[in-house]
Amino acid sequence: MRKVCSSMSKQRYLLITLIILSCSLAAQNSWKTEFIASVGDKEPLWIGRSNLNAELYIKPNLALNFRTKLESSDALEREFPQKTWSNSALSIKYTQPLLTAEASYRSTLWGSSKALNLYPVDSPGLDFRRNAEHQSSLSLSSEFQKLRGSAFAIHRQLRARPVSYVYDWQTDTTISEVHAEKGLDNVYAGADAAYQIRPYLRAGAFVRHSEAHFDRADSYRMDAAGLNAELEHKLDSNTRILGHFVWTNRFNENLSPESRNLLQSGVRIQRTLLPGLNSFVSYQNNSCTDAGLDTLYLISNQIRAQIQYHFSYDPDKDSYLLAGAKFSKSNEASAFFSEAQSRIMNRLYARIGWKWLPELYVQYNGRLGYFFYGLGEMYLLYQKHEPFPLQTADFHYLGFGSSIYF
Amino acid sequence: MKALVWLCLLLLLTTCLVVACKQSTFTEYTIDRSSCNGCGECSRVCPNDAIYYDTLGKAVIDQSRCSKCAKCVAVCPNSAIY
Ligand code: SF4
Ligand code: SF4
Repeated sequence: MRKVCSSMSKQRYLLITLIILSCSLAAQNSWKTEFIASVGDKEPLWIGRSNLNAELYIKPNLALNFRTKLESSDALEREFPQKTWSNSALSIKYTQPLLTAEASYRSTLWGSSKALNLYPVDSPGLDFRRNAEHQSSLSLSSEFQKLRGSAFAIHRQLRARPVSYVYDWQTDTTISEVHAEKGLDNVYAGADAAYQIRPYLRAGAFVRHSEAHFDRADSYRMDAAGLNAELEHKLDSNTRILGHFVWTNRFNENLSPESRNLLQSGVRIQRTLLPGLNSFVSYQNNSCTDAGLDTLYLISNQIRAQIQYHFSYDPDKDSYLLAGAKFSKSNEASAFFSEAQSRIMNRLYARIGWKWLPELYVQYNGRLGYFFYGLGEMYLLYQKHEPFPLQTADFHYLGFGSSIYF
Repeated sequence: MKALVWLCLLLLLTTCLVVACKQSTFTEYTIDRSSCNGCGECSRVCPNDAIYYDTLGKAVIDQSRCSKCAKCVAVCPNSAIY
């Protein structure tokens, strides 16, 4: 346990150094902090959240981006399997007329994490306590006339402590034994080539490879190759249509033959209906079939529609109405939501929101915020979370927070 | 005009896929890239560490690691997982 704490604190120092470095460099930063009390079916819970975003253009074609989130509670909160969680990403992007290169690093830190059976195929009866995950990636893309090529490589390493269990017959209890931390590696790589057939139509091919470096790693190895077509067209100054079709042939030893050929298609129509009123409707479908293309099976699909209206009485565009719906019956992932924010006087804003996931929960939230223009905002917030089935106790979140822009 | 013809073809193809599809037999969760902002909430709750981030910072589900528990669907603030 002491080892876990020391590795966490080293990583926190690194994180704090990165935050300070970014704060001192960046031109447009925001830093948000929130303190929330949650009342659910157990003891009241305290939650602290912090969120920092920073972007800096070192040169017009060289951009540095940093963002970090930290959330900590004094006990396990709802379905989250850790008390402390932090996620940070740092990326640097270099753009030239013919070439774009980007390198990024993302780290996730967990504190007081629950033991989870992370690799069910690999390790029946063995759980892992996650300490940290480091992900680094590199991508290159190049465009020459109508040809476009790109390639990427991603490496991520999870630092976790395996936990094994021994049953003690004498005391009739299960004793858990926590082992030394180990690194579990995953690699993802791919390359794409595409040709601009028409100004609105592009077609291409791609390959993907992913593998894991630990016991029974073959279970997590996936190879894929495919063809794709993308359409993007501006019908008039208010309407844009986008579409894609992707065929992927993939192989993984745990995938059934019927799901080997993945067919993904999607259409999205974006339209400005009135000044300040934007909308879109999209449809996405994922299907699969075996090598002989005998029968087509549905994996998942969704239709989504959304509108957003900015009230003209607020020149800062902070008064808006947003409403949307997503129907996804196949995977029981439908969602309906709406949110409205309006200036009620001077710099005082009120926000109300509602989100309903028919199979999971309904959520109501309210927020009262005071803006210090150009400097930041202070606010009070309330959220009610009603999980389904209804016999589970509701959660109430009450808190305050501030955002600073600098 | 030609773009519209292509769009109609795409719509037709999508409709064919919908009509031809048998009932959903292979559960797989997918992330709608246009709705994902890379906030990390899904990977925070994922019990299989099955979510990573592509080079644009968008979440991707590693299907070889996913146990189809749907926990990520519940926490995504943008309802981007279906
Ligand atoms: S929770 Fe949703 S928006 Fe956030 S990274 Fe995951 S898929 Fe993207
Ligand atoms: S369905 Fe479950 S295992 Fe799969 S990505 Fe979502 S949270 Fe992880």
